[in-house]
Amino acid sequence: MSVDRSDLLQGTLELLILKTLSLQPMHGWGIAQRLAQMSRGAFEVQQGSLYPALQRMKRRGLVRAEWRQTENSRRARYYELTLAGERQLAREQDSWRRIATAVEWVLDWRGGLA
Amino acid sequence: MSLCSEIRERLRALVYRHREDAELAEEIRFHLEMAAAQHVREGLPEDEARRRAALAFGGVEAVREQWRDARGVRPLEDLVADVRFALRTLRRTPGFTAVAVLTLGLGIGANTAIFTAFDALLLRALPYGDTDRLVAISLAPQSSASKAALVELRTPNPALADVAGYSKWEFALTGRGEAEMLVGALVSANLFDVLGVGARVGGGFVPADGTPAGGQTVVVSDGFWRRHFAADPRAIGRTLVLDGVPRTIVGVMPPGFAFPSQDVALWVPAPIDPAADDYAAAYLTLIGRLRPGATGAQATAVVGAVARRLRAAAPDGYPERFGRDVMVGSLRSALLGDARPMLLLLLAAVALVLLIACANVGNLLLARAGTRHRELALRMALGATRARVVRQMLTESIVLAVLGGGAGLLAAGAGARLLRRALPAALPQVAGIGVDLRVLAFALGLSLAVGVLFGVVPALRASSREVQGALKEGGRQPAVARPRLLETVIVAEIALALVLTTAAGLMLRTIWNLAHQDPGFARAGVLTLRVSLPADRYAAPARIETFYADIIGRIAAMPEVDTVGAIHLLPLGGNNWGSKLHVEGRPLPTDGPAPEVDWRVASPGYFAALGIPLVRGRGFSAQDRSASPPVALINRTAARRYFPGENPVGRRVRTDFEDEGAWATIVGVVGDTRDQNLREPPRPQLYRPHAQVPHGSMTLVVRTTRDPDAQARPIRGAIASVDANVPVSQIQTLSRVASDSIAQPRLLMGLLTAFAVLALALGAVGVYGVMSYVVGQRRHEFGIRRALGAPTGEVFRLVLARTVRVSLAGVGLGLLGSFAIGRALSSRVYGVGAVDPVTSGAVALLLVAVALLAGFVPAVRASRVPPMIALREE
Repeated sequence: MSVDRSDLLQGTLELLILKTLSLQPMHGWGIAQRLAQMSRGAFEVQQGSLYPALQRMKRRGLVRAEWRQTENSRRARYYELTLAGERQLAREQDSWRRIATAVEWVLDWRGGLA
Repeated sequence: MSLCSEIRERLRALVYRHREDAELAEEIRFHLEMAAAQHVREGLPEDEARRRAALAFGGVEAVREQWRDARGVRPLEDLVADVRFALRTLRRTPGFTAVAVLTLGLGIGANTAIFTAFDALLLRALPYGDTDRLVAISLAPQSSASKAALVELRTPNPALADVAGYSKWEFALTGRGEAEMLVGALVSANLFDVLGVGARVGGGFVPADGTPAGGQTVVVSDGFWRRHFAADPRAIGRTLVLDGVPRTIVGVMPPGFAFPSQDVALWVPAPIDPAADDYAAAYLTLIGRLRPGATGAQATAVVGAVARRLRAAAPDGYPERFGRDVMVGSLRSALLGDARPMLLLLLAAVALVLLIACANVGNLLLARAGTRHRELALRMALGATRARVVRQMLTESIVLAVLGGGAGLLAAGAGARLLRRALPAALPQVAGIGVDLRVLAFALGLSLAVGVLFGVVPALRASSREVQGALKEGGRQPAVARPRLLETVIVAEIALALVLTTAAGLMLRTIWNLAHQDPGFARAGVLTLRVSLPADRYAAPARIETFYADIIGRIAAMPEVDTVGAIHLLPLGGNNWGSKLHVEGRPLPTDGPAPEVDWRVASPGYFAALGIPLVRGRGFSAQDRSASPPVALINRTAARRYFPGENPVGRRVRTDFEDEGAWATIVGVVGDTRDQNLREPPRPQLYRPHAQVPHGSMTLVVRTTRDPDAQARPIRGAIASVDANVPVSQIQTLSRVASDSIAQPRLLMGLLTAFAVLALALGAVGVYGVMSYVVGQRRHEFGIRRALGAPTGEVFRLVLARTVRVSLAGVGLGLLGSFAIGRALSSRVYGVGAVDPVTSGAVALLLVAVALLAGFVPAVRASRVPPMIALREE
């Protein structure tokens, strides 16, 4: 299955990026790869939109960026979660789960009072 | 991010713009290469791999734009880019740009010009200390105060810290070359203390100068000091002979200081002596300084109490209501008088002109946006957000407005110069009217506001979703500018133009009426000259009488002279001496106001010279000399008002200008004159013969057989032959005096007319342009109708009907507005009602005609094009 790009809200993208970066610092290409992998192919985001999102998160202090050498001795900009970013990830995970659960309840409604 | 780091980030982004762009490019390159490499590993050929990678990535340009957006520094870079782009676009359409800049230039320029006067007269601080607490004090409406009142008001009270008085006066300066008349002021010695401004050179007045024993001193203005003493500091201590009295210069006021008006060159202290004759004479204007924390209301209460005290002490000296209509008000309003409402009116008028100009340019932009929709759609498809496009279009309109503002500044400079010359020099700060930093700031601010005003709607409309959607369908040029919107603007323009033109028309007719108002005397062919005898050489009444008899005799003997007379206050000269009228045998009324007259001293020839008819009895003659019984003449209004139904000749009257026992017998009644201004009905007047009340300063009125101006030199020669050291001033014809008295309404009329013409022209151009455009848009529709067999006439009818509807709507709205304007102006107009059908009707017809023409020509063209071509048009 694949999810239409327009369904992916900006906030969700940021949440996904936060999660991806929480595993290890990576560059933009790496994040795109990892996202596709973690979502088992469902999220094939328009890769270009990662960069503006990363920039926004950088401005809000959730990630920091640094030019480093890759394994192949190429130069790439690596992004890393800050402390604030970690806290934000936890908060958003919580909030997402709660919303998801509530939506589930509504969708499973079979009548009568709970 | 905190504010500090935010600012730091933005600055860094600005400075390192290129580096950051390069870094992003590298980052994207890296991404694409990695993605391509991945695809190659999966078995795809290289170019296919690259293509897939690029596809998966998305539009690079869009990403870069979004990235920059997220970076948050766009505003400044974008602004620069937008401005450059706007300039390029404007250059590509020089016709449109020229028209828009010209239109805006006129609108902004006119507003800026009026603002220079507004700023100088109403906004800028007066050149006195702590002006918030300076007030003008009036004990009774339209009347002056006496020294007695001044002394009473200076007694310590909780509201007023100090009070000073002044009276403008003309002084004869002698002993320095040719005798010269100077405008100065008699002031109380504490005037400069109350104003809070000290002399820049010298010490100024001391309190002793205000006492009868005080030194004879004078303080001069900076301008006088430069003109007469070349700014020499040793001028302090020198002597000036004013009105025959030698006075020591004790101070020079700072440059830029003027009180009560620009033309006052020197200030002479008036001694306050309770025993003197003039102690109770009311000729002073009062100003005061409030104590810290005191309010105007408190001051009014204090002044009212003082007024009532004055009356209680001398009930005969004051009218009954005295003390109930006291006023303590802003000094600035008192000094400006009429000018403030006039300026506000002009400001409203130019604002209307600017609105019309904005509407025109806005319409132009709307029409133009229609032709640019493809370009805009392309940009938005490439990833520019709507906000971005709107911002860019707004920048364009602001650039246009600023260009217009720049052009307008040139006009404003000229306009300010005109205003400076045209406004009465007596107004304070008139010399300061000009284009300075504040005016520039105003012009810039106005341009920005105007740019946003007329640019926002076209920008929003052009980028709206529905327009962009139309592009995708590949249809013909969509109607970016909805006809209804354009027509609404046209309705507004017509209404505004109508309102403004009506106002101008009202003023025009007012001036015409005033100018043709019969003042009660003949204006043409009369020369007036003011003769002021120096008090030192002409102290004795007999000498004064002889002098005037002498010069009048010599002038009357001149061949070009018809009649000559003298009057101590010229009609329409702006001055008045008023007093209560005491009629013998008739006590003053205890309830209601006492009879009042305007008092004049005249020579026998005065009435003939001015053509004032004798209605009853006899005029003054040679038999009325100082030793003869005192006589008087009254005018028709006085006779009707104070002696209704009876013959006033033979009754005895007196005024407060002469002693208690000096009853004069009325020997005749003369015709009325409009003495104070042409607008008011004639007031009661009483004349006394010069031979019996010899005033030293009189105005000669000379009726000449030919051109009065040409007789000026011979007449001066005749006076000089009697005494060459007598100053003669204010030589002008009577018609000039009369026209000067309506100078201000005439200025107002001139400006309003200019603005109205401008509004009409702009409105007409705008109507024409929009109508042409709207009709042009409907060519397709007309083509269909014609193809379906409709006769050409029907097309015309359609166009005309629509045009007429729009114009009538505008005219209707405009008439409503005109009515309101008429009401607002009712205090200034003369001889016209609030509704002026003549002017309104004419303008309405003109505008409707223009609208019809505007729709007509394109309709003709549209109907000429063969229907097939019109149909094929995309």
